[in-house]
Amino acid sequence: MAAVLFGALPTIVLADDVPANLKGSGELVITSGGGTWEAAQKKAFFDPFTRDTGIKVVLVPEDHAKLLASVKLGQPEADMTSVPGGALAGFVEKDAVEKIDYSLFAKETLDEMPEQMKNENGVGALLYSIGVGYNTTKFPKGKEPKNWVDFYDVKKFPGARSLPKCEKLVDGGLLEGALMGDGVASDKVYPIDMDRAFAKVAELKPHVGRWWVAGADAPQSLISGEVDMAAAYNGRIFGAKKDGAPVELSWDQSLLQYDFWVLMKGSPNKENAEKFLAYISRPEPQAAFAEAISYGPVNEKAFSLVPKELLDILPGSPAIAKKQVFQDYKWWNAKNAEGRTNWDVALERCVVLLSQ
Amino acid sequence: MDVANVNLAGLAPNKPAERQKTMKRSARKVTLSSVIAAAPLLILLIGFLAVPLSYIVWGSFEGTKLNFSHYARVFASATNLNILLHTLRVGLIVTVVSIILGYPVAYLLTKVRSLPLSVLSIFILIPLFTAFLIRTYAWMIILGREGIINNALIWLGVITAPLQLLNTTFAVVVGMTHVFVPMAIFTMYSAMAQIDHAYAHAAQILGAKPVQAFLRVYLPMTLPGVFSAGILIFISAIGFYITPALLGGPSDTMISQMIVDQMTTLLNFELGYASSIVLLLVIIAILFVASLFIPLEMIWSSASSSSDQEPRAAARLLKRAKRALGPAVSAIEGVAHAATGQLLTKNAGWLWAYTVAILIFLTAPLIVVVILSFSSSPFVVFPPPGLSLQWWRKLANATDWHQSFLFSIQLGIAAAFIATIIGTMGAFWLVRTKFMFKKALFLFSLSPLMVPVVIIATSLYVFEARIKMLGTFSGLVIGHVLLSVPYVIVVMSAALRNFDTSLEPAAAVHGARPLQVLRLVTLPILKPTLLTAGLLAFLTSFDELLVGIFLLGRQTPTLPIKFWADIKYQIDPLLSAASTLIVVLVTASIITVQLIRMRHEKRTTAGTAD
Amino acid sequence: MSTSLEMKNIQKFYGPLHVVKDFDLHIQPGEFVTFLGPSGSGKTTALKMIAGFETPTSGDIFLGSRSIVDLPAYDRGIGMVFQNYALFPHMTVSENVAFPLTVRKAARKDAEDKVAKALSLVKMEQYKGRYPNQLSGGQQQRVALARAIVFNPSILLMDEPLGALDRNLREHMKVEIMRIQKDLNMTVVFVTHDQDEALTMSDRIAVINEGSLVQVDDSKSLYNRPRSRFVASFLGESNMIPCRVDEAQNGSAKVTLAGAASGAAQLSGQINGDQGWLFVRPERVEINLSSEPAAVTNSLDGVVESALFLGEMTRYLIRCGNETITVKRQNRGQLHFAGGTPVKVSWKAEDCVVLQ
Repeated sequence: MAAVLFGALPTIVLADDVPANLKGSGELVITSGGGTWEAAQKKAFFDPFTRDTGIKVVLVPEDHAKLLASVKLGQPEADMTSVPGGALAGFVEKDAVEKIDYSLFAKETLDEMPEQMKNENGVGALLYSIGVGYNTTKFPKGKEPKNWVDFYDVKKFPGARSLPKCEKLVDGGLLEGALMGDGVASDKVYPIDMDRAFAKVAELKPHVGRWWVAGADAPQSLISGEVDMAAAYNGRIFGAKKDGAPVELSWDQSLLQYDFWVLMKGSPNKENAEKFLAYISRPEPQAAFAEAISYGPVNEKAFSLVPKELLDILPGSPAIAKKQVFQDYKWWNAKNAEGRTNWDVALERCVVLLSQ
Repeated sequence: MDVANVNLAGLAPNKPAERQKTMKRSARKVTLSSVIAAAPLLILLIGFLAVPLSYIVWGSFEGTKLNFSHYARVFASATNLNILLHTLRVGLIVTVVSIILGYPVAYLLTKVRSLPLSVLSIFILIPLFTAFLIRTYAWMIILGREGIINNALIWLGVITAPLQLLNTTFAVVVGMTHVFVPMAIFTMYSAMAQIDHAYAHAAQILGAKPVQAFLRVYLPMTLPGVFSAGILIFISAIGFYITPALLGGPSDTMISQMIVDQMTTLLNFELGYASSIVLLLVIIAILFVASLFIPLEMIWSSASSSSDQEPRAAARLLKRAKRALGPAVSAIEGVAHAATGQLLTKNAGWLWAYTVAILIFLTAPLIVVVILSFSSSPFVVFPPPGLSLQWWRKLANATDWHQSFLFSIQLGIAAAFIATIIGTMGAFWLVRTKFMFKKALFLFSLSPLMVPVVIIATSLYVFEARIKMLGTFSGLVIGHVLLSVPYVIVVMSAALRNFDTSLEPAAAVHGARPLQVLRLVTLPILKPTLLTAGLLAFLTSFDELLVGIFLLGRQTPTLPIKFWADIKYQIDPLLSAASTLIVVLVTASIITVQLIRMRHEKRTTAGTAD
Repeated sequence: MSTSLEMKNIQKFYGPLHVVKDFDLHIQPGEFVTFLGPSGSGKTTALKMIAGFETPTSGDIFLGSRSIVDLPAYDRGIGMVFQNYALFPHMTVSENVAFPLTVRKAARKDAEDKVAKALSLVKMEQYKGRYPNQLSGGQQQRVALARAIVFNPSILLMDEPLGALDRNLREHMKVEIMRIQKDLNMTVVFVTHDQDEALTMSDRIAVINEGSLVQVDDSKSLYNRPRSRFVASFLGESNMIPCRVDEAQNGSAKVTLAGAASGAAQLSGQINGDQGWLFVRPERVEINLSSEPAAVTNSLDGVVESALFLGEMTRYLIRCGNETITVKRQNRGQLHFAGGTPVKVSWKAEDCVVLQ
């Protein structure tokens, strides 16, 4: 009952509650990834925003390479987009994004957001996790793998594994998982010892039945029986589980990751974009979004607005956050003496390893 | 009639000056009309292919900075070279396998009557139009650890533990071969159809055993067609990337994948450009080597006969090698005759059996997709736990799918319409007028087929943004026109070469003005070919992903983009339902065009050939 | 409505190739003229220049009193039957026949009448709804003819129209074409390489070789009085015996045959002492047993080499020294000469001509 109440409540309250300084006119062009993702954003963010502020939201398909090229040419095809935390530095370096003006944000909203979410170049968009996913038929309750150590232990937990392919090595937490699997404590993961991490990946390689490139691949491989255990996104695993698939995700040692909303350089609708960010960062839209798609809200107060059972599956929720490791995007984007980022170096080493 | 002739004619005695004027005037008229016919094609190719490509070349060394370090990086890393080599190796395997699998089917097609020919070709065409993403997932289901093949083998007791089929180079080869076998069959068929089976019979009468007749008479005559198919497949294959990424193992990265990664994940555009240029150079090198063996324009239209030409230098070399190997060949023939004598004498039966097996291979993923669309499970599991219409109901209510569907149809029709006009005019120009470098220009007009789509998409993107065309409907249409125009040219120029040359003079002498000739005679006779060309162009646009991703603006996503976006976020049987529906519609349109053609041809066999 | 056609000093070059040389030809209204020559002789090029598909390099062409050389094909008002008929495959018989009227925008009723008339002239009324490929070769030929005459063209061109028909049909069509030509009193230029067609149908035959008009004459003169070895050998069978002119007098002369025997022949411009060839048709040569005295001026002794029975006639090859003489004899029950029989061949002075 409470769930229903809470679920419906925010939208009712919002209508009159929206601060006058967020109202406006014109439009705002946002990239969208389609599917359930877009549906959730529409329900939680876009539709209420348009209704409450009068600003129209126009969606264009998401393609960052293309978006960056358009920024470079001085005519951004969208005003804003969301980028994985690790990609923000690249966008900043390419001079593709505007600094965020937080002055439109309500003070309480700012207080409710963790520091990492309030970057000068981007506003936190959502929290998600990559962790150890597994097939519950193969590993029933009591015999399930709990963390990366179990994932990398093929003696105790025999069966095929799925790991991210090189191009997804940061998003998929390949090296972080390997280090923790090799016994590194979760708070000692960074700076990553690449030699050690790749050695561990190399060790598991014969048991990897699938190297995934798309997020939907991991749960699909678990469901089809192609593999028994996979490094997988929480949203995918819980989505499949809700539909009745025999899959589960262990939170222990899972990586906490997040996306940023960024404003594209030269955007003609900068002000509307800032109004949008101030609007959706409030607890109510964040809660509505979390409820719609099971990704963690960037506003901590939102956790108190979602149904209780959701707290067990939302990345970053108070109970779970303790077991998680924040992915260190700063380290990934740090450059070595040759001017190449850790990411670039790791990618090359990964390709070398896998192509052997 | 070119100017050179008129000048030479000046040597003639007593030539009145006014005659020269008339001839110049008529020469000018011919020049003017060929300019009109050529202009749209040349504007398209130069404006939307050559110029955009030059942007990429320029960008690859950062323009005036002349920074060639990106090229250095491409070549410095052993990994990059390995990927390139792996790409070429997979391309070669896929090419050889596709050709070997396709050859007997193409051979059978030359022997059957027109009705079974139509039926067989529809069966071969259909798999081509199952959205390639869903087709790839179907292969995952078939080849998976608990997939159809492994389960069947275990059930039969052949194996006890599942084989690792998926995520291997084997799976990549299977997936890609599936794409290219139809192409191999049709390319080889169009070459073989021109060879009279009487030659082989003649050889047998003269004492050749069936194997010898085949190996020494028929096979050598089909080699140019086989070679064409090979080049065509190889070039397309090394530009592939989604299929190898999804079906292959960790080391199955292809070079296109690398380009896309560099540009989309690492945002290193310059390195992506440099890699693109390297890929392009590799393709140019391959075409150059190929041109030593056969005239290149034959690859795309086997109709252009080349029998009267001097054998190419390399071909002569081959011939000499063959002569040297003569004794070995005879020995092989002897063995082959002993082994296959039975098969070849009563060949129709086993050929049919073989063809049916190939058709099963081609339609297997499609069957899986159709069955999946009736699944009661929310997941892609096979066999489905139960049957239900839920996904079809969902599809019926999915307005976003409907919008994408309508948009793709609009786009396809617009692109097909324009491509057919431009391509037909271009084909007229290329076939009907005489000028220098004609072969080179014919090849140039087919160049959109040779440049990997990734490169076309990115270069067009940068270019259209420059000229403020990006994101407009016309910008997207132009991209699709560019990709489909070569098919129109290939189809139309083949038809024009076979066009009865006396029909147009017959119309002209009986009083029809040039436009009347076109409207009353030429175009009506070419109608079925125009339809075929239009259908090909439409299907090219309808199934196109990459250019769409790059050039789409604030419009509804096209159907392939819709598939792509959805598959990135979730995999469910809704995609199978959508895919099944598309296949049904595409099949219906292919059959309709086939029927129109058949009706037309029944009446007009005299006037038109394919 | 028949018109005269005049070709005046026509030259045609293809690059350095002189394919039509010094064509001067006047064709009378209602005349049936055949261009006869081996393939590659330039006869088709000449026809194409009349039709307007090729432009002469120099010279002029008149239809009646009008120069047509600068007119495009569609303005010349010429009817033409093509070698392969060139019927439009997508049109019915009546649409094909109506084509010249359709493109001239003739009134419908008028056009229908004319089409009906043309079809009845070629006896194809009952096939008017069919498509060309549902017709036999002969029927297609008739339709093509109807199409070419339906608009009362000033002149009718026919480019090897009978080449594709079988023998019987060809004989039949010859008569049909002649009938229609006489009915309509049409000027016809007919191109063929078949001497029988040329001989039967034409009022005059223009023999063409290597781009030049070799001889223009009616069938009988051409056959009996060829003016060159080429015409003599191209048209029908002939014997050519080397000879020397001894005593020329009023266009005839005493000659020495094959270096030995003496004889007499017509001259074609030779003077005393000229070497030449004595031309005589095989059917003009008589055979007698050697023992019989020669009845006529020219005679040679020989031996029967072979005798071929051909039904209506017998064809003998007689060896006379170095020469082989062909003789054709109607089989009217005379004596038959078997191989090896010594014989005497002879012919009259007025039946043979000395050619260069």
